[in-house]
Amino acid sequence: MIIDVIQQISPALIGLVFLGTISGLLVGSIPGLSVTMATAILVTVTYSWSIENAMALIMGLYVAGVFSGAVSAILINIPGAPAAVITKLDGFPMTERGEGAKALWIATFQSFIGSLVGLILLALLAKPISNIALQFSPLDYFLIAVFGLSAVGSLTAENYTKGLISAIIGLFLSSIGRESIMGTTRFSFGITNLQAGINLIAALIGLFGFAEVLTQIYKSSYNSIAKKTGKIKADFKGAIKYLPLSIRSSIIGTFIGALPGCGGPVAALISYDSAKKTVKNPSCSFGEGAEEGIVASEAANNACVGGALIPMLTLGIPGDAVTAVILAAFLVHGLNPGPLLFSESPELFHLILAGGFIGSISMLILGITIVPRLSKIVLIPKKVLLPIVAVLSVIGAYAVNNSLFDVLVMMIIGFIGFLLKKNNYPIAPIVLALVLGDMMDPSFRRAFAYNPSISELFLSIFQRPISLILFIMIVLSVLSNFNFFKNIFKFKS
Amino acid sequence: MKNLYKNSTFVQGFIFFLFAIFIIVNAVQMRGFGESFMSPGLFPALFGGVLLILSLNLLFRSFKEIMKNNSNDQISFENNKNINERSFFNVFIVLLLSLSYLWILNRFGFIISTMIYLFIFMFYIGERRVSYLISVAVLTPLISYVIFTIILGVSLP
Repeated sequence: MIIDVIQQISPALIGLVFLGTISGLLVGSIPGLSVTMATAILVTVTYSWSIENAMALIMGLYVAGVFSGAVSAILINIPGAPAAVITKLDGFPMTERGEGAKALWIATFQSFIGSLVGLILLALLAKPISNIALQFSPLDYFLIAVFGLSAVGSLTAENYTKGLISAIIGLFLSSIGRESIMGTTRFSFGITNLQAGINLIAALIGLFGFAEVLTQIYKSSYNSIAKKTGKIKADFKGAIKYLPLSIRSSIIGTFIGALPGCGGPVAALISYDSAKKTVKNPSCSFGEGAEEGIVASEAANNACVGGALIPMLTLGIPGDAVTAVILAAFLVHGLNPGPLLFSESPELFHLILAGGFIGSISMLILGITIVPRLSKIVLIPKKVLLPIVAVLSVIGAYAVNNSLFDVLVMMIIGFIGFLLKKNNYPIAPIVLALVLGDMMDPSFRRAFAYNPSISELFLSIFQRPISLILFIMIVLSVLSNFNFFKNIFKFKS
Repeated sequence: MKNLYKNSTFVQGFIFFLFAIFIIVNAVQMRGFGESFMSPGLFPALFGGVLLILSLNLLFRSFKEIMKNNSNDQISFENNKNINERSFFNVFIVLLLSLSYLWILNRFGFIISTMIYLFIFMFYIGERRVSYLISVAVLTPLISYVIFTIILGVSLP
């Protein structure tokens, strides 16, 4: 396998992957420009190319694009992609205390580790993992989404009730528009533009970009984000000490990525929650600038790259939005991803792996040389930075669908986000619930197709090992946020 | 009773209580609710119910807060009143400015509208250096236009 992968490496491959990496870095770090959109543009641009050259460019963009969402999340508290929502919890506090460059370095290196682990697991375990993923029923998808939301307690330093309320606001926003099973329009209030639902990117930019602008205006806080950025230094020794956490988070990310529809945000959340519960002496409290928080989320969400490719390549089922576009690229070039791909076009599988590995190395090189220079942005006074962020928020929201309505939605949701932040409601659960809500609703209703009554549905949880494990994880996750449960463990130890 | 509406937890709990009722009432009116588990109202009814419970939790907590710290709440609220009003006014102005920017985007195009918006916004929040005002207001939309429209192929208003 290793020799087959190495044989695919050529100067042309390296050049194309590097070009894709630079594009991914630029696109992913700007809120509103998504990797999915950039990949879709590349599919049309590379229509007349060979599939090998097209995939080389796309793999570079994919790997770097997933990482670079963390850049704006860390520097200006606006995630470049939903998966970076968790990264900003600890990344931005590090920037505020003058360690922005260090936070970027940690994100870069851990993304590199996550990508590598994800691709290695793709190479070795594609078949077994896809077999497990096939076992997941609609009920299991619903339970894993519930687990993701129950872990929202990790994101709320102060109050679990408020965290859950934020999550439910997100579920409400996800239910606006036409639902996928019966085509009924819900909560559109007669507004035609709302029939398509709330655009995720517009909501993301509103909640983190515009809401942050309003919050800073409210606080009359106009000095620069930080007085310094810290040393720009590639500290490999410091990064290696987190290797066990990185590898564990990467494995979580790969597996979550292999579940179609779950993706980076869920992987980052579950990995972060796991780290928060298991890391005994973090560098700082989670949510206040803990390096381990960035390690867990970035390693997991980049490992999703390899994970999401597993069902796409082995079963022809895309693992996330980007792999859905990559699937389209395969079809456009006359190929059929699925079980026969390995036997009919094994060299393409090896090329994808080679592209991924070179993309990871390119991302690390660019992450060491160029990205830390971006940390200087935090020295700009907010009297100048806030209006620019507002303009970028408008551009980002508009760019998704070329719609001014999305910009209006962004501003309204931004104002709601500001009110929630002012009253100590966490914002991250809203975005996560927006992502998960699209999966939860149809899974929940489809589960009833298999089990036509509530009692049968509940009993079926105990009849399937996957469902039972997920149910136990949910119960433990919810109970762990209550003092009486924590006290039981303190008493026993 | 007077202290109830001054307690922010009570206000939040009450708002979310009403919101939960709104969701549940709309959910049960959706087609097939109560007849089939495939009804589009099922999932909203589920999370509406959870929100109802959580809002009651907030209301209960607010009653406990009021019983515990009756006079202190009122004093701290009065002290913060002036600061809150001024801050909210600034937020309101920026929101109004942003909505106006949205309105003129289609009429004057991205570059002109953004120049006006940036100039007024920076001036309002206290930037008085004319060189900064003009350079940022002029360069930001021009550079954005080049990057997004020409390099990335993303169309702007």
